[in-house]
Amino acid sequence: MNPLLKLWYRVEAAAAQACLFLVGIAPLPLTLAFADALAWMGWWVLVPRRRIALDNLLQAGVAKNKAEANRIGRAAFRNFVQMIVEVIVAHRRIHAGNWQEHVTIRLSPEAEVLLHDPRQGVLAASAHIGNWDVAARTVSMIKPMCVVYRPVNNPYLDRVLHAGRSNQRLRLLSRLDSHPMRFMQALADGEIVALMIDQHVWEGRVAVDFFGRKAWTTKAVAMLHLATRAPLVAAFALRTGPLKYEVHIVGPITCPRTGDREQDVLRITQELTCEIEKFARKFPEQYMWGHRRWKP
Amino acid sequence: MTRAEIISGLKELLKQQKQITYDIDSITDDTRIDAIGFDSLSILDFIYDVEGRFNVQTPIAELVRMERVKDLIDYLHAKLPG
Repeated sequence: MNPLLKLWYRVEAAAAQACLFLVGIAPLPLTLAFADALAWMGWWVLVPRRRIALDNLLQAGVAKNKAEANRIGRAAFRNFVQMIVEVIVAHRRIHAGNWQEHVTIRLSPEAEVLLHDPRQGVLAASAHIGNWDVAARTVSMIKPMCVVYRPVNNPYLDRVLHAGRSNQRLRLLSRLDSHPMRFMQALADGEIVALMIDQHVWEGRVAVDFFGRKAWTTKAVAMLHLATRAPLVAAFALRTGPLKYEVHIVGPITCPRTGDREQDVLRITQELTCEIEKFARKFPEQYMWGHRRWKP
Repeated sequence: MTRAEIISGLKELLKQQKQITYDIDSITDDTRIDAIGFDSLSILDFIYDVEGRFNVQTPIAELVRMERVKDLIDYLHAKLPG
């Protein structure tokens, strides 16, 4: 690695470490006020990201005009920064003894049975709505979970961000070394395997309708479901207040095989994407709009 | 179904997996499945295709136990006697 780049990476990681420490010990109202200020600044400074968010909101038809797109986009930025702050805070404050004071889980009786059966693996598709990280942490207190994450380019920063976040019940797997056999083993062990499916991907993908436009989406969840027949749910965590969340578990979604693999993959991925769209439409200020979702 | 028929069917399915560069005809009972060169999704495609071709449903616990080609053949042979 270039020595200058290495130095920069180390500085970045040290700064992140200091921020994590400060956010972790500061009073929650103060950190949330800081998050608001940071989000406001980010909205004006991160021009390309802002443009993507505005464009997405208008093209998706979620915002009727530019003023509304501005309002929702700013709220979504705010939610995103709040989410990061609350992830840091939640790590210290939400635990097995008190998670029910912070999180309400809404699910069908069938999903509840799956969640409480220690032998039953469950496949969960999720999206960048609300606070997905805290949701994973709390649901893992009921049933062990294996989550795939996208590592950042800076390996030192990646270590800082993810050190200590894995534990016996929540395993974080980098997308770079996540192989389906590891997921299958986790499902066989009765764990939840959770994957985010609302980001553009270049490989192993299928084009599904998302807000009326084709969006390339990973086939991984659909293929895992078809190969393992593990029950499939969609899960989203809405933020209802400071360190308060509502986790919605939709399903289990039943998609019997037809024998046409590509059609089955499309059908399942489309169904999951429709669930994401419903939530993003209903709670647009909690969705991460600053991502180029509709790349060709 | 005989073992020879199962092997022939599996090789046919493997040849349909475009990303596999492994010499399919050199695969033996002892070949490790993870050495064949499946990428992250093609192993799942292969499982789907095997189940469709042989009309079997394989529990996850069985899938994760299979390490070598022999394990897969034995499993199918036990499911498809005759």
